[in-house]
Amino acid sequence: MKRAAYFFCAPAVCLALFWRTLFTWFRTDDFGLLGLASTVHDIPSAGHALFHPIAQGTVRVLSDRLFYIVLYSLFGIAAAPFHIAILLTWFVALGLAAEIGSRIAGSRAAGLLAALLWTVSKVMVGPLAWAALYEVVLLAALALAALYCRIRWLETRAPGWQAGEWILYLAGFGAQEGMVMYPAAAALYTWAVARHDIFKKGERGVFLLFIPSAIFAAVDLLLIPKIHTETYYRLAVDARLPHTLATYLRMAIGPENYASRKILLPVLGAFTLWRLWRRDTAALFCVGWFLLWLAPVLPLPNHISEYYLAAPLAGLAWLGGWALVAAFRSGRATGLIAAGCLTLYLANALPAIRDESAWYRERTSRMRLAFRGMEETAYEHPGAGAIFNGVDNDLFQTGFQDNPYRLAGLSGGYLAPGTEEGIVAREDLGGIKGLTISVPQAVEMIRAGQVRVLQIADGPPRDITHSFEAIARAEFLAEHRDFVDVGRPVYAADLGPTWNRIENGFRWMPKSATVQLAGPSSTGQKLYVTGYGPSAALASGPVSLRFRASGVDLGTTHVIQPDRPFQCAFALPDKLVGAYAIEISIEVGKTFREPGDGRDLGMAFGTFAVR
Amino acid sequence: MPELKEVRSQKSEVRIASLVFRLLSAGALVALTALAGCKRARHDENALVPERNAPLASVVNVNDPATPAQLVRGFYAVEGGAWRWTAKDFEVALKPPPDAAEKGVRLVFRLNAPEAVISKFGAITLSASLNGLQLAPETYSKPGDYVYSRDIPATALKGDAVVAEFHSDKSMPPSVGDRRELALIAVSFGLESK
Repeated sequence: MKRAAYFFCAPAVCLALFWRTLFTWFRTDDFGLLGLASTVHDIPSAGHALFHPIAQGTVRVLSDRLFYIVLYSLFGIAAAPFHIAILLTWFVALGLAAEIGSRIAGSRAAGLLAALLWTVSKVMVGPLAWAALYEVVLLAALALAALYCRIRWLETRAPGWQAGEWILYLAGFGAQEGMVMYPAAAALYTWAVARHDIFKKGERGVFLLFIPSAIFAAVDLLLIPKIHTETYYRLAVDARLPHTLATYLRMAIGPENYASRKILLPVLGAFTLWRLWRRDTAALFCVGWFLLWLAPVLPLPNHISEYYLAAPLAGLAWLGGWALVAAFRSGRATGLIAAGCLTLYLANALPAIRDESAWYRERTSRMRLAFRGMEETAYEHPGAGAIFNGVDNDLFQTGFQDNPYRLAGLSGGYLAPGTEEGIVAREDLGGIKGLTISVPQAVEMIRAGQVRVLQIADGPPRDITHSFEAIARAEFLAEHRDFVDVGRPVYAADLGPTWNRIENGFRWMPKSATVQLAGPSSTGQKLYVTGYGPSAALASGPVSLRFRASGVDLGTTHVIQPDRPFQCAFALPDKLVGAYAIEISIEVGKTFREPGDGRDLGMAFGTFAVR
Repeated sequence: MPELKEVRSQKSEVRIASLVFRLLSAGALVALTALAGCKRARHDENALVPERNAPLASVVNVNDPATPAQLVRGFYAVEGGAWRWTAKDFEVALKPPPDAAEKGVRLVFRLNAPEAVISKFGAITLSASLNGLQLAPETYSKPGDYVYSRDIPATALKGDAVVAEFHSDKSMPPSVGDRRELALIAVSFGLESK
């Protein structure tokens, strides 16, 4: 009972603090990874989905691939099973951290405190709330499990524990590339905590662990192509390394700008020096654990991310738990100092965890509503895409750049024209270009039934396809009043009632037709007209075209060349300058009828412009 | 030196663990191939609000959740369940009433000139255009409720919708506490038959 309470204590505290993560939905990278399952049709495609490098050349078979493929296949687009799996993995890691911590400090209380300190950290919000960061949770769990097997092997020499260490260590490469650091951590523990001579016969086996790491590192660096233009993930081994390390150290202790760092970091440093002065190298292992697991990400100065601290933080947590127990046991004064430090840490960490986990939940809730709307659109309009109106930068950053559209069953997704202003898109993910669309394109796609328009709101999205089309056309026409392309649907409101339907980007007019344009803004401006002279229309000779502007005769032109485009221009009278609208009327000299077509056809037109 | 019994027990534990691991791996592979790609499309009619039969309105109350698309740009969230702050430039789309093409209409904008803006920056001049037609501006030198109203000729009312653009010459710039640019308080817009 006591032992069960020991192991359930840290998970219970974790659940009390991070309960919101169970109600947090998917975001960004999750959508790409959820889409993996739909690429699996047979054994070869399963192999590709599991082992083909993605993102920055990563092949995380367990944490990225199997995790998403299996849970998506079992539960669909449901986030709760993912977060339950993440929390369960984390609980295992906490139990292992407590066990290992108790051996480091020689105190079960210190181990338990270490597990508690590890989980009461803002650093863990991201990994527990964002499924795509399962990699760091699984890495921590597998690394600790492998180390625990090593510890048990050192204690019992039972070969099963050694086999367990190797299996868990090798599995760790499927969690995250950082597993290459495990052999160094294992060797350090064996020497610094277990106090074994690692160069002695029977102990040198620890060096065999370096072989898979070396092979993995060589394959990863030499054979897997990397995106070298990536700004965020560009490796830089330079003078920025100490600064990056200092930043991570500050992040590990507490949220940005909190004064606790100025107190807690020196206290932990002093405790480490005191243990080393007492020739207790176990403190060195704690510091080493932090540095070793952080080392692979230190050369990424453009991608300093809190979640990378998940595994390294265990080192500082062991140190912290140990320091607290040592202080409480040393006397009342040191106990009071320890209690003060603990209070300071908790006073900073608890509100930060609450705020950050609420942020994840709120952001992803909006994305969930938008995504469910996309799914329903795909259900009601199979094969259609969607144009989204009202997507703000926050929502966009939550997943609109990660192609959730295909996953929802849509053929594509676009931002409503003009709404891309104020949105910051990542260029390394393709920027905003692929998501933008012009007003005429939008109108034409709506008319062709290729897209629906969804208004993003606080609740479920609203289908606004027809109102959006009318508004888009009105907006467009208000901005392009000096130009009409009769061959495009968006200009239909500028045309009089006699025009025929659009054919091949042109429209036939009968005997007479009208077009509305803005009046010239200054004297000297002209009316420019383009069209096409079909041979059928010119079979009986040239066709005359007479133009008027608001009743004023502009002149007559003749279309002579069959099957050729034509263009003409007419000076506009000064009295029309500044007129809000002028009506251009066109009259053809003769019309004809095609066999089987009852329409009187005069001439095919393209554009009218005043400039 | 461990006892013989203990060594045997440990060996048997390793064998069982190895068997369980192999069974789990095989099961995972079979489940992976069988289950992946077999999901049906999710259907939930409450996930999407369908479009109304008459999608566009001639009168838009800014708090009406059914007409958000008609507040084209320059509007912030509903406040007090009744009104919205506007930015310096804002735009609304309205449906011309049935007889608009013959008689023309009246554009009516019900607003409040906020004390916070007038007391700090002085009188506010509101200018507008509708489908590119410039409308006479109006100046509000005292805070309070106003109606900006202008006649619109039939020539400016083609199509299923018209776009009215508004511009306020004064606004409170974004600040650290509030990143919005705040100009006027909008209540409703309408195209009313004459």
